[in-house]
Amino acid sequence: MTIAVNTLAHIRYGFGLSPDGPVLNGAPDVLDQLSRFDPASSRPNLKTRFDLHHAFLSGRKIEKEIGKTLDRVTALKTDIRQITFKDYQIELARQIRLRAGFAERLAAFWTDHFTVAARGRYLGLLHGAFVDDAIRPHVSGNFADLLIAATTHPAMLLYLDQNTSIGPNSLVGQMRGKGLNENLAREILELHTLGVGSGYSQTDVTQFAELLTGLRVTRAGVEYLPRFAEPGSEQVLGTSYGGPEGALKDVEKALRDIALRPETARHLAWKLAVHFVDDTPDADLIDHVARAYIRSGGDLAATYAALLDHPAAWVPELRKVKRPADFVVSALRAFGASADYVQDMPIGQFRQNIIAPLYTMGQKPHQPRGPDGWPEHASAWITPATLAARIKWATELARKYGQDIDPRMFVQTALADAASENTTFLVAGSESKWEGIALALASPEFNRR
Amino acid sequence: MAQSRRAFLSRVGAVGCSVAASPLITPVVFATAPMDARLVVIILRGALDGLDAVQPYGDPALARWRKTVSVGPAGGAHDLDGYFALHPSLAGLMPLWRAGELGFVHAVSTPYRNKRSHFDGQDFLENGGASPDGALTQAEDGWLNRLLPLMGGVTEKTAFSVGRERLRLVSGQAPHSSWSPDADLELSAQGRLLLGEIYKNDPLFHRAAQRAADISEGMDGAMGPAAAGRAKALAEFAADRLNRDTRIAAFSLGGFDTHRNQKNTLPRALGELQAAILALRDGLGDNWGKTAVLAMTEFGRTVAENGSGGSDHGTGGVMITAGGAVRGGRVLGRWPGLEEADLFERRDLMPTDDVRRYAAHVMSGLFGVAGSDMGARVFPGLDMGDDPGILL
Repeated sequence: MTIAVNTLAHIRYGFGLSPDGPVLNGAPDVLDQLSRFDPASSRPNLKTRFDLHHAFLSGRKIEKEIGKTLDRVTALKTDIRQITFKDYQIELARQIRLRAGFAERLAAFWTDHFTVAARGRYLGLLHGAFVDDAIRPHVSGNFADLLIAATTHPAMLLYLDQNTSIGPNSLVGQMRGKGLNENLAREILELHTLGVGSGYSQTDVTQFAELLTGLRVTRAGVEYLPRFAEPGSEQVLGTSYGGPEGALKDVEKALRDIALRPETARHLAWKLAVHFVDDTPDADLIDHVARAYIRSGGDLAATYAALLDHPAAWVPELRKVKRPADFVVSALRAFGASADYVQDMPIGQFRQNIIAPLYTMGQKPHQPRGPDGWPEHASAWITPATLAARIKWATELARKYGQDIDPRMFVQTALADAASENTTFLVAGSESKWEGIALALASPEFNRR
Repeated sequence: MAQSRRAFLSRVGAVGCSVAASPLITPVVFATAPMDARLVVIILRGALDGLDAVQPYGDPALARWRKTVSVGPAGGAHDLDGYFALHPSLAGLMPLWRAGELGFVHAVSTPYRNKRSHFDGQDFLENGGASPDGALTQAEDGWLNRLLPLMGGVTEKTAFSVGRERLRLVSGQAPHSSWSPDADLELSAQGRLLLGEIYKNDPLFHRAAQRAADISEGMDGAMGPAAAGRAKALAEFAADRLNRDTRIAAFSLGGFDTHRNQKNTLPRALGELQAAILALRDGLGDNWGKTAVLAMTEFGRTVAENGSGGSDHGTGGVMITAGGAVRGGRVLGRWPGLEEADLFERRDLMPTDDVRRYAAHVMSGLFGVAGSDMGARVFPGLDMGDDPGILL
């Protein structure tokens, strides 16, 4: 079986085929999308979100003092909730809107790589700003910049408990008798850079955690506060960082060094290959991508280019399973749905039509269980219950919007030559149009990439 | 999904090749229509097996073609006239037959030939064109819609399409209404069967789907009555509208694509049809006497039973007529016989008449529309021929 490059380019490296094209003739066309990717965002910025949160906190405080609820606090709560939903609507709309979606796929990949699970009101509110500020501007830049931006973002610091990490010998540590929380340090090494089992020691983790002390979220945003910082220099992976006084630049220097280590190159290459190509990727593919990363000094565009110029990247077999959100987006794209359909949907409908079904398919938007993000393995996503949920959603969508569309043409639009003979045959054999379309959307090919 | 189709589909034309204008659900308004007769058209999706619904057990060839289905009165079917017998699952309609309120037209079809595609066939049936290759008329509208301007005094309430499916049959330029009961979304038996097949080459999906099917097995038993309940709800709504200002109602029922185990799959679909017809009779009360119901399908099925106890896409089939305005108790149509040489392409029941002709005479009789208009405007290219006398 062969599958055309254009088909794979859209299905494996984008959000699926749509009637809008364009034709992508190979890796250069896919990479070309990166240069046209605009990270600018219409979503509320970090300051707006911060202010909302603190207005809410102070309102809450007054409510507690006077012992009754205040309308303006309830209104703030609603505003915060609306922003959280609107963020996700805009994210899906971006994915639907792009004519070819490699850059948005990468934004989603790195958002997951640097997981900040959007649990609770505050993290839910900050998540959109984290993606807009820390992830999107660096999608095709240098990994070190991305790492620094993600690590020093308030959402990440809050999520990985950095505010509870205090140098035991710092001024505040001495005063309060508090000490380190290694969470951020460990996850940076284990998940974001070197990878688990790549040879760093517990001492490296502790030393790195000490180096990170001082980095905090305050009312003003992210600050480096020396009174929280462990005095003296730290040895991380054999290199000494910092002097007697801690400084943010020492943290940044360490992150830059770690970013360029061969273990990091390998870990990122493996993650990219697993995410885009195969749950158990070809060793040669990983080597190839890791070499490009090292050679380019962590340049992500060069790294993606290496991924895409390797033959394994174009195996004509759909080995990965689309995550539920990607399944939903690709289904809407296959209909030629407008991005506004999702972006302007009233929130009640959005919750009912998109969010609730995603829960049943096994993906609570932006709320993976832990900092390691969503599972990659196909079997994690296709269980009896979650497959039934995909079928149900596909059926509803097809019933609603597939009455007038010839399913034989729909299969061509949605899957082109990735449609198996079996699927093509069965779709053509369904007794009504919408049922044929439901089948096409439920088919294994459509759920794979 | 409650947003308008328009908001959703910015460029749907790029996908579909048979896209008509977006139907917008009109708010319920009341208005009067001058005429008093009522017409209900039920589209049976999936190709009803006419030879099983109305079994020609008097034709000696039938028993040679079919073993597990269409076994006539010996298999529990109800004798109609000594030659045809009614499928056991339509037993509830026998009182109507005896009262002369139920009739059939056998060995009929639309002009669509050879390709046997459900989608083309249904589009074609609802569009009402004459081209054997299945090409639609230029407007791609429905024949009930084209009838409306000829009736005079119609309002948007005169014709109603009922159900979540958009009916091409009613769509077009003339104003009309549509309504959908809050029915559960559910695939037909054929849809579920195909779904089972679609995963067969992907072990991961196959396992999950099988387990999912096992889990929902308990719910399956409840589907028969539930489905009948839905058909009943559609018909009850239609009856209610027809008791007010509506004169034409249309809806569709699915589940007739019985490729496998027809003995067990067709009863459910027929049960829905029966429930719908009885609900119309009960709901229409006195108005039942002025009502004609036409149940039509895109084409018939193969004469021979296939290897899996079902039947495949064919050509000639049956139209069901009901209502107090109908001269029932008869199976109309010219029977072509079931010897191999009698069959269309040596496999399908030979259509001996155009099903549109019967519908045209019914509409002409009910609403006083001239026969010449029927041929010129409603069913392009139709030769009305003699009045088959479906109506009283």
